[in-house]
Amino acid sequence: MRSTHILIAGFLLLLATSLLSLALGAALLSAQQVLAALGIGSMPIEHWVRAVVLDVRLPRTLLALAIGASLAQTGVVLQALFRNPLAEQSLLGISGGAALAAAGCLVLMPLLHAGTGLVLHIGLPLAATLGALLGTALVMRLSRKNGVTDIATLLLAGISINALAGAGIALLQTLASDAALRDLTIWFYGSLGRAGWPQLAIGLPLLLGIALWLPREARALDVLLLGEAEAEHLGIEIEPLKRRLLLLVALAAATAVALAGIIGFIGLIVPHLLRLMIGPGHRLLLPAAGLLGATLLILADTAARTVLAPLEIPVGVLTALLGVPLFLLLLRRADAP
Amino acid sequence: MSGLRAEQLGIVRQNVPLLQDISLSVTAGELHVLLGPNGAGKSTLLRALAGEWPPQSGRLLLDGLPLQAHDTLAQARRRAVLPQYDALSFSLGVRELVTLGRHPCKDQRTATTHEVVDAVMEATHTSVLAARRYPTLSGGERRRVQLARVLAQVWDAPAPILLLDEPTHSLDLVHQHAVLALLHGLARKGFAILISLHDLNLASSHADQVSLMRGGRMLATGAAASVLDEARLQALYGEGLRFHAVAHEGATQWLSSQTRRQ
Repeated sequence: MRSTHILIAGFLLLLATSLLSLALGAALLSAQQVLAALGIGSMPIEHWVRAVVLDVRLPRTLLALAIGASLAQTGVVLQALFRNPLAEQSLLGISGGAALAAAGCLVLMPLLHAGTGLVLHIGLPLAATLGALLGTALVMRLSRKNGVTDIATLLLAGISINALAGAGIALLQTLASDAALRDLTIWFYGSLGRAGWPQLAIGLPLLLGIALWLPREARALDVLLLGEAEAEHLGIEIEPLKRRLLLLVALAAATAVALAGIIGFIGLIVPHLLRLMIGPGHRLLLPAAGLLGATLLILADTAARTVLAPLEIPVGVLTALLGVPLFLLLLRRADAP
Repeated sequence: MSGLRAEQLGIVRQNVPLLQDISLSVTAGELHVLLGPNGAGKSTLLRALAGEWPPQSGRLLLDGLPLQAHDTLAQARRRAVLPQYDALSFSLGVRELVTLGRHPCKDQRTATTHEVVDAVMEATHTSVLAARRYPTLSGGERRRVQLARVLAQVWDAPAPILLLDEPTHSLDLVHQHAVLALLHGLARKGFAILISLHDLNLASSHADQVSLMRGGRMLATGAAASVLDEARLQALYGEGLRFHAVAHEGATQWLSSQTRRQ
């Protein structure tokens, strides 16, 4: 069947990209070396090779995989929910809330002499998650009237909350030390450089759990494309569905922001590209978006850490540099979306 | 007690009364047509019966029980709704879209789904559009595809109910008559159908029951032939129009013209 072929092709592409990202870096490894480090094959390898693959590159690749898949899939869900192909994570107040909380930590904790190692290490992701959920809760609360979530108000509330967060961040920047300012930059443009097994232990199950849950809602999302009243007439309890989906999306996006900062455009470009290629049906679109989102973010991150090595480009800068022209191109196409 | 009923229904939105004291039955075996000028409350009545707007006064009954006593899914298995406008901006395939109508159905076997989708697309003359993408269709084609989706939902349902808001808008004359004839035939098979129209002649040619609405109130309701007369039409549309009845192919057809201003 056609859809099975598409998914198999996507999976193979993801696998190849993952191996590539494990091989590329300061030390260039061969495919056999990578496989041997992963325990496949019997080629004898030195200890440092195993360490580079398993402790440095594998967690980073897995994190890119989980976040890329999650961003693309939750992008798909948001676009169906808003019935607008331009909807994205940053609309919901998620990015704004997370970024403001993270900036608060980075700037204020050193001032309180609390910005050392462990506190910052745990405090920052935690604060970002709380900030993201708080921002989302605020936006959702503002857009609910008489128990009904108004999508237009939701959009405007999201934009307002993000603008407010932006002002707060700018204020914090004027207070920040040089070191904090540099950390802030990395945070706002995204980086997978903090990836390690401890972060993965929390992030991976959460992100992959949500990614595996979302396809269950595929049929409801298809019906939702027709409109909210229409979906209700087709037997869907619309308010619980909307709340459940928004919560899942917020949780996934908050986790992603907490682990890797703000990475834009994956949630916009991947669904858009795929809708043009395979149509808007969610039973195929959701898993395909997961595969392509993961592939693209792994590629972007591999490029981010190798192109200007030993300097590392924030991966969000790269996704924006590649994503914006592609997006503008798509906008110009007459038959989009 | 089978079917959908409004009893002394009143709907108020943002302090504006939209419907007052409306009583009406959507009964199995009948094609019931709502007529009235813009803003008369036809769409509001259809929405209320569809469960979108809870009534401020009066009652809505499905099979003798309050509408809210039936859960969303149970309602969807009995009653399909065609809104006046559609908001679909995604590039769904036509057949894919019609198949979405089967979402609430009990019988989810692939064979049944194909059979029903084939049948409703045949009935709405949309089979030739099956492979097209929705945004590439003309207005009238979209209308018929959406109608096919709505029909697919209750095609094999027990005691099905259809609520269609201007199902003929943007349709050419041939398709206007074809859709009304289709609905008339479905009513004969036991469907309960309520639709709104702006065409008196489509109503008088095909309707079993006609209700005349103006300003959120019901002016008259009853068998098409007995309700539609010159005096009532004058009351319905005001002094700006004059009506003249003509016998045509066994049905009364209405000519209308603007009253000449002095």
